[in-house]
Amino acid sequence: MRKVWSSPNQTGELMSVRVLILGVGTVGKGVLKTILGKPEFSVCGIASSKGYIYSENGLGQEALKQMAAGKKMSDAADFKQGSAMELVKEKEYDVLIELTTTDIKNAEPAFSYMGEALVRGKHLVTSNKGPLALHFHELDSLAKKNECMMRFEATVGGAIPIFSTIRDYLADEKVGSVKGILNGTTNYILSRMFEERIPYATVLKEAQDRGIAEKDPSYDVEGIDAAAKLAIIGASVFGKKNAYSEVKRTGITHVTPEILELAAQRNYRIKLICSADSKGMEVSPRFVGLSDPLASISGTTNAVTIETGSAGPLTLVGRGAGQNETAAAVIADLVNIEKNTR
Amino acid sequence: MKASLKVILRDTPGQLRKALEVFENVNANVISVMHVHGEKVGDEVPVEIIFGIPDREALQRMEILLRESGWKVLSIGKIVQLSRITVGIIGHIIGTKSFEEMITKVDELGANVCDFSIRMPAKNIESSALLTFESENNECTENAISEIGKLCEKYGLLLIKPVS
Ligand SMILES: NC(=O)c1ccc[n+]([C@@H]2O[C@H](COP(=O)([O-])OP(=O)(O)OC[C@H]3O[C@@H](n4cnc5c(N)ncnc54)[C@H](OP(=O)(O)O)[C@@H]3O)[C@@H](O)[C@H]2O)c1
Repeated sequence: MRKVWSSPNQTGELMSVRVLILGVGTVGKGVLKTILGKPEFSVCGIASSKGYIYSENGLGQEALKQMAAGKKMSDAADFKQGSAMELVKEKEYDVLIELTTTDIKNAEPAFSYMGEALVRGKHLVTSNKGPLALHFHELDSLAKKNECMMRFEATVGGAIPIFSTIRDYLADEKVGSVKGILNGTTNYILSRMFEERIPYATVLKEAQDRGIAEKDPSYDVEGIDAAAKLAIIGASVFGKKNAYSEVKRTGITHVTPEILELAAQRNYRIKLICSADSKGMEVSPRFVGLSDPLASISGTTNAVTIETGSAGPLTLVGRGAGQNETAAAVIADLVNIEKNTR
Repeated sequence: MKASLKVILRDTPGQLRKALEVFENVNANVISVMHVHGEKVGDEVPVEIIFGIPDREALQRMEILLRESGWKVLSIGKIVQLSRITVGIIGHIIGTKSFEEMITKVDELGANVCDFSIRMPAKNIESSALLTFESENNECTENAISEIGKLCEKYGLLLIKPVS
């Protein structure tokens, strides 16, 4: 694996790993906050959709603190208008942290940022689902060819360590299947419909008022977000080539309070389940028996069950989104890269 | 496979051991033996034996051997373990032939529809239903669910499958 910039400086101290952060939105701010307390990392550049700031020796802590607290990047004295690609392509850094907006139609421009960084031999951490759901194998082979690490824990299940569990803890196990609840919004809606016996449209409105569902909720309720996450699992765990287009997808918009009630009489809950194995991938509302740990996952919580050969089924439960949770997954990946490349 | 035999024994010592000699002959191993004393007539008592046996052929041979040796066999056969599968169906079900077709299809595949519940909240509002069928093995279950899925697609219904 390619080593990061780790040679001791003249005073004998280990120099810090230089990171470039693309995207300083909800997740980016969370990552900035945490990274500032870690001397082993130094942020040498950050970028938004409008421009960037960069300093080869690391940006000032105070400026970064203010940005983490919400100050506009464009107000910084050294702000340069331009594309983040200029940073990715031309500047010096060790790890790219890609936290820009997800695009599930063509994955751009994030896919190009990631590809360019890997070609240049930079390690990659991302929370952005689009490029991995659509182009996992291209990125993975670029990473291998250029001896880089590519980490994407934050793309699926927030703070739940799905990929590191499979990669590290279950390294010797054959994973038979992965199934789970990977979209908090739809799980919240189904939970509320069940608890209150109220129709889908009423709960959706409530979720929108509470900021749990978007104004245009289709990305969640049609199962698109869940399918993108499942595609990343399908590609990385089961080697699926055209993972996203292969996912069979059904959303929750037709689920009724009556079916939830009928199901409850037979000791079932209905959940939007993502399931993947070597045969295929599917996102759809499913009956889950009460003895299955997934049945008791309510609200915006996420959970995933990994079926293994000898360890049996392992279920991990946690918060599937949120600034701190997602940032925690990004930082865990970054620390993992640092440990593996020093 | 698992099978069961109900045979009449005389209520005297050594009878059961004699009957079980046939089991060795066909490589069957006894799982449980129950004397049905409630059905005893004179000194004849029915005994129900559950056992494992390699295949149907061995079971046929066992029956022939038992009858040839003069045992009164009341019943013998494979024990079929049925599993119950419930699926949910949402949409405009009433007034279409969707359910009749599903029941026929499931039947043809060797499964058996044993329960059906439906909620119809109001006219023009989608109905919600549960369909339960019994199936002998996984293959039969998978085929039945897949055929129900095709019919749901044909009639524009939402199918909710159990998570496996
Ligand atoms: N929020 C969560 O809980 C969560 C959880 C898991 C994964 N994620 C994923 O993490 C990523 C970031 O999420 P977020 O909630 O932080 O989003 P966000 O608040 O909308 O922030 C997105 C950031 O990306 C920047 N950006 C957009 N296009 C860019 C471009 N072409 N070049 C450079 N920067 C660009 C935006 O800049 P401007 O400010 O200039 O527009 C903004 O700073 C997304 O891919 C999301 O799907 C989020």
